[in-house]
Amino acid sequence: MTAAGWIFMLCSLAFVWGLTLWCYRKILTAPEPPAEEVEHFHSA
Amino acid sequence: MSQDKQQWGTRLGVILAVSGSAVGLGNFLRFPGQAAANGGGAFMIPYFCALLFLGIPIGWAEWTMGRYGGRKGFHSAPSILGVIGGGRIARYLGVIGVLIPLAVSFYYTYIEAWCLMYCWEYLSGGLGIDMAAPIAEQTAVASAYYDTYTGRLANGVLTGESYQTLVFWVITFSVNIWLVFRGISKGIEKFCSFAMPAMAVCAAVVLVRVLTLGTPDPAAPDQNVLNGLGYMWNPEFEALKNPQTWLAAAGQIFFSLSVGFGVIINYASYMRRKDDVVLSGLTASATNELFEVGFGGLITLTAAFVFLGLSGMTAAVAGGTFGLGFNTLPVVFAHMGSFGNVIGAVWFFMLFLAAITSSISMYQPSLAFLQESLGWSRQRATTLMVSICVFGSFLVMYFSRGGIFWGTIDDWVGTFLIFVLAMVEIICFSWVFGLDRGLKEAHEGARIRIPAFYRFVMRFVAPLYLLIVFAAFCKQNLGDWVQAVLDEPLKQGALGLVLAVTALLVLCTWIGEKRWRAAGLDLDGREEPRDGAAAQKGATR
Repeated sequence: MTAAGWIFMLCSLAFVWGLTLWCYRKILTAPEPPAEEVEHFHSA
Repeated sequence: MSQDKQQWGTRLGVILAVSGSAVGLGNFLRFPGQAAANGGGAFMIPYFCALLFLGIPIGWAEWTMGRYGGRKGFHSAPSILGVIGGGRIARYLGVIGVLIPLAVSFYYTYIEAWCLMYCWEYLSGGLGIDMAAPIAEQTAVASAYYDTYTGRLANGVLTGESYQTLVFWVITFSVNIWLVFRGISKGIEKFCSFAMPAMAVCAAVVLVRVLTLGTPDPAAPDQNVLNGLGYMWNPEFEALKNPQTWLAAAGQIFFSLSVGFGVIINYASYMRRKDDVVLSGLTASATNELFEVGFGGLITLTAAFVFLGLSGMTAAVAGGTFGLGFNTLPVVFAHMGSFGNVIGAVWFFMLFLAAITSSISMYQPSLAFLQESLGWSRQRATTLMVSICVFGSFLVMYFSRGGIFWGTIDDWVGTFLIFVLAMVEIICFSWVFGLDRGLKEAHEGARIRIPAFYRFVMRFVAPLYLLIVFAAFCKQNLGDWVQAVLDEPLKQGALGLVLAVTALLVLCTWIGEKRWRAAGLDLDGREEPRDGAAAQKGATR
């Protein structure tokens, strides 16, 4: 494993882990929107 | 008038379901092979460019269009694209969004059944690979098992000694249909909420085992974990000058994220008006990337390198997704000793979970489409869908020689048509529906905003990027594919099946169009949606 290999691997892992954790933190700390009543058309 | 009310239970539920749809065998088997063959670590440059400029923006467009269509009471690609694209042309092109998941499901559950069968074999003692034999013989044993039980040697996997494949297919298919029939919240969402974390745990178990392999054979000190990681990650910058690298990266992102597949648009249609599509879309993409880069990029090739060495890897990577997964890895697990059977079982169970979370997403768009176009109950529509799928899967399993029949469906529907649908979607969203209107709709209830430069990306870069990749793809493959169809009756049969299913879906769209118009629905998207029960009742009068 070369130094460049380490750099590419660690940067790629940091990017995907960082993005995923940031997204889930945002999702889990946001309040759920209020429930809406919906009726969807399917058959007449 | 019967009503079928479906909605996601939680915000996390829809994200896990879409992520589950995206994460599949390709994340663990196709991605590392593509990366290693196209520049190693350097592959990640075009890969992340494709993610940022192609995958994520088209994904956002799909999420937004799906939720918008859902607000008008529509849940399938034909009806939703009719609304977004403002008329019949987009509506009939939207048929592709039902055809892709339906036709791909014909062979996908078959492959999914292999994963379950391999898992069972490992739980029952392994594939019988003799550790004392030379590596070539060990690989031959794994290949013989694969060829026999997947029916590659001759047509008729249903009738030969490989009947157990059929048993596992029946189990797999039944579980799929049961989950889909239970509905969006009670079936798909509940299952993905369990399956996605379970998949992550399985992947983590295998990853830890692989990274702690060290140097298992003292006689071959070069075959160690670090060199295995180096095989995958050491960059070859020369590869960046080769257009093939950029094409492979764009293709990998494109197929991996399930954009242009017809699933996201259907899943997003069950979201509420104030549900966030921007953050949800980004989170689903990020989750897929985590499985692909974070697990797939570290496990598969590293494990294979440690036991097979550099020379064995060339054959393993050349064997492609299925060669690597079903021929090479069983040999690797055999080398792990008694613990190898446990790791093998965990690995194939993880692949099974990855596959089933994808396959259930393939049935839901068809089910929703049949319900809303024919006006049928869920039960009746499920019966029709199951009949079509059993017929299609029967043909796939019967004509099993060399995987030619299902490979043709994969080429023409699971690859070629995905490009076409994605192109239709991004053009409808950015140019017909209007980017200003589209982004305004996307930001409804959004926790984060789409960065301003994505206006330019979604209007110009993504369509152009897609067009270039598609043109290069056609130049590279289309001539050979057409010739192969002309030469091979099995390929002609597969395309005949696809055309027959397409004709049925077009007929259903025509029937649905008449019904929706008669019911006074805004099927050409001329009005803004009126939310809430009162508005929906008005629309379904």
